[in-house]
Amino acid sequence: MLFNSVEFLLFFPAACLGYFVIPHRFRYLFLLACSYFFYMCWNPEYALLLLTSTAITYASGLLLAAADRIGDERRRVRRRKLYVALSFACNLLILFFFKYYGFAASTVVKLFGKLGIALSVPAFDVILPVGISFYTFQALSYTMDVYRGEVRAEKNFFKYALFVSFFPQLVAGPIERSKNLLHQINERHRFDADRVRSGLMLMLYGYFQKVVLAEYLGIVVDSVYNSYLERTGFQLVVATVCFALQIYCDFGSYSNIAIGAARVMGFRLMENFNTPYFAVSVADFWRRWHISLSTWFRDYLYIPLGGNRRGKLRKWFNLMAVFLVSGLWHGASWHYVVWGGINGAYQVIGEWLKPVREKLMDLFRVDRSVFSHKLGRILTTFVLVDISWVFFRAESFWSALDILKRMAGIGVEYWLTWTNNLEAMGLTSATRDLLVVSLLILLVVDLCRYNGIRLGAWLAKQGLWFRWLVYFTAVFGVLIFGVYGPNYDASAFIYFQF
Amino acid sequence: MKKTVRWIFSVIIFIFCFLLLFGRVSQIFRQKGSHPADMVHSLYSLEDNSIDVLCLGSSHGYTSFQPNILWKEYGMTSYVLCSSQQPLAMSYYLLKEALKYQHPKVVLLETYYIRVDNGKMEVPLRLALDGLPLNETKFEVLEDLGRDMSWKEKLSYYIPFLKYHARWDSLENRDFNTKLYLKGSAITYNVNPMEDPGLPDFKKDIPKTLRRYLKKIRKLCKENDIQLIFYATPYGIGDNYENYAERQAVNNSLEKYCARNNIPFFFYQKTGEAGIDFAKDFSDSTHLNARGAAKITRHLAHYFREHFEMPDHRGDEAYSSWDEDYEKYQRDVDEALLAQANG
Repeated sequence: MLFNSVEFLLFFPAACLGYFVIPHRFRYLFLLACSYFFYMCWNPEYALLLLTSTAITYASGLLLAAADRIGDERRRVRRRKLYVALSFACNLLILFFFKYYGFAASTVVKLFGKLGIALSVPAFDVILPVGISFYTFQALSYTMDVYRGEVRAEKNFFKYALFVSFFPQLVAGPIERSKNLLHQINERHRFDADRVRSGLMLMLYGYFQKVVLAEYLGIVVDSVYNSYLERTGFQLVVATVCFALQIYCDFGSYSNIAIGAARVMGFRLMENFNTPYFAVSVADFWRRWHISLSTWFRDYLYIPLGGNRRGKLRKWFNLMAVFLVSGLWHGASWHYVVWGGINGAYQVIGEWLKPVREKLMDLFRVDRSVFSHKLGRILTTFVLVDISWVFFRAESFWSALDILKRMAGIGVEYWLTWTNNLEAMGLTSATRDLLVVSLLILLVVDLCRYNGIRLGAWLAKQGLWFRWLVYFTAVFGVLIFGVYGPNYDASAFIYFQF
Repeated sequence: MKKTVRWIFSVIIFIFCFLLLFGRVSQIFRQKGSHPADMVHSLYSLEDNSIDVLCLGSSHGYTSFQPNILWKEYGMTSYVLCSSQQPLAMSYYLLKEALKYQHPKVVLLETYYIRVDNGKMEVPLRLALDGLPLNETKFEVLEDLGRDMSWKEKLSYYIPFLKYHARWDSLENRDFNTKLYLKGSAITYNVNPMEDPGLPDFKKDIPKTLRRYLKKIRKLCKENDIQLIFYATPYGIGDNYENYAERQAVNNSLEKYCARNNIPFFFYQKTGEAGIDFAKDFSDSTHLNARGAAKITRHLAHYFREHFEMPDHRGDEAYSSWDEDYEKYQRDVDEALLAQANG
């Protein structure tokens, strides 16, 4: 079930109520049952995959712990490496089969086709299991953390299974780490009104981001991108900016709802988005965007590859490798890989050109301490990131290139026309106004966050009337302006004037 | 402990306030029928046991019967519980709902929708049902007509806001002021001159599924000691003659049905009793205008007076709200006539 579904709105209060009512000893079992129920609402069979990944990594933890007791050092090291390798291989194989097999097969067939060799590979008709990329990575982090001695192997299988399947973050992150989440399962969570309220507020903000912002932004993006050949450069630029905001709101909303839902029950999940569009460089953007994934790649891929300790060239190679893999993680298609590659390349080129940039700035006596300098960096980063988003959103690599060309004014009859822009972007003056106001709210919230102002805590200190006014405004704002429920078509009713 | 109690207490108040606000907001967003009376929903604003006549049916019902005339000229109180394309099943359930609060002597049923079972069509169903509060009648309707709905679809009938919240960009003044009229029905003054197309000489059966509801309506009236009366307003061809003839052919069958079941049936197009003039009394090809409605209302009023003991409530303090409503009605009529005179 999706967070923005009636099912979840019924399921979540029931799960919370059960959680607080049931004695502490049995709570993890209850949450585990809830989590599997939550997952099985999509596709019951795929719970077996989740269970398999869980079992493999659980076993890897126990085996690693057993291997630690081997006296002979060489044998011990060999064994430990073997277990880690096995756990990674099994999990990645499952992931590969369900997510990448079709993509890899078609690529190989195409490649051989270019060489004039007709190749036929067996096709499997599989649906992508929901959240497989997320929970596989979460489970793998456990194997690695046990291997590194950062957590102790969990003996209780059900507790471990809950760590992998914890429903708030199961299908769309944050990708938790065992050292953060696993021990929380043993904590005795009491019902704390302030914490519950703060969790609910975060969820509500998440819903606002999802059903108001992401949905309306999505209308603009879809209507322009789905017929980009008929769009002006200006409309494509606006739609691309909208997409940057849409994907932030959409993804950010899931994280906020997940963190909020977990907080209601007393769990602390890691932060996943930290005002990413205020980043002053692409590297900074990646420290603020989907943090749980970026740090996963840092800890379990970038650093094992040698990180930045083996010279500049090797560092650049590692960076590129991480971002290409990250692209592939986001989706089994080349345009995702290109998207990842561009983000890697930005950083490599940025570092490579750093001396030149510094010299130029000295030459022009640029004052690096003023606001305009920072704003310039923020805007530049935003533009660079937006260019990469074109590859993420477009249907294919070639259409992305075409869109970029059109945005630059190449191949379009007019770059800007003054009339019909709203309609072409799927909006009305009312929905545009709503979008503008909602984006202002997003901006204010992010600005507060950026400046270390904790809005939730500030609100909690205010008088009752003010708090309730905010709550009711927020709840009804989302209820009225959100996009959800059965489709309403005014013209269907106009027909019934008599 | 004290803190927990206080917290629970404030949560209860919060939920209470929320439900109160939600109820109000839902009413604002609910799609209203096509004219100011918001008839289904206003049922609950009537004083209990205050009406003598209840009229059910589709737009043909609310364009052919005017409670304000019945009040002013005859002192009888009546209510039009019609909605656009009202399914016969909904006429039954609305009657059932109305009988919780009212005890009319006469129930009028306009017969236009006894020709087709549209009980599962979304918009007619919604226009007849959404005005009802969340109660057992709504539950019963959805158990019956909502059998084939998914649970989510059904939920959007229990909580119409799920469907209508998207109306935020098309709200009108009357969404906020729904009760302009309590006792009125549609008032249209434009004239669409036509010729009487005549009636077909063949019969068409009443759909089987609808016979069940006719029986239920009869039974309900009998149990409550209410006189049931059917009437069919005249109408013109509309789209094409074949369809027109098919529609009227059901009235031919209804005549026999009513005779067999002892229900008075006014088939105005056949008998010409009310003196409807096709050149002046229609606002479009199928609906009567205010002139036509006045004729039908007066004809029925005479019939009521002759056959039933109908008290004259005029001058009775308890019925003063009817005078107020009449004034509103008269003002609108004057305005409409003035607007018409000015072209």
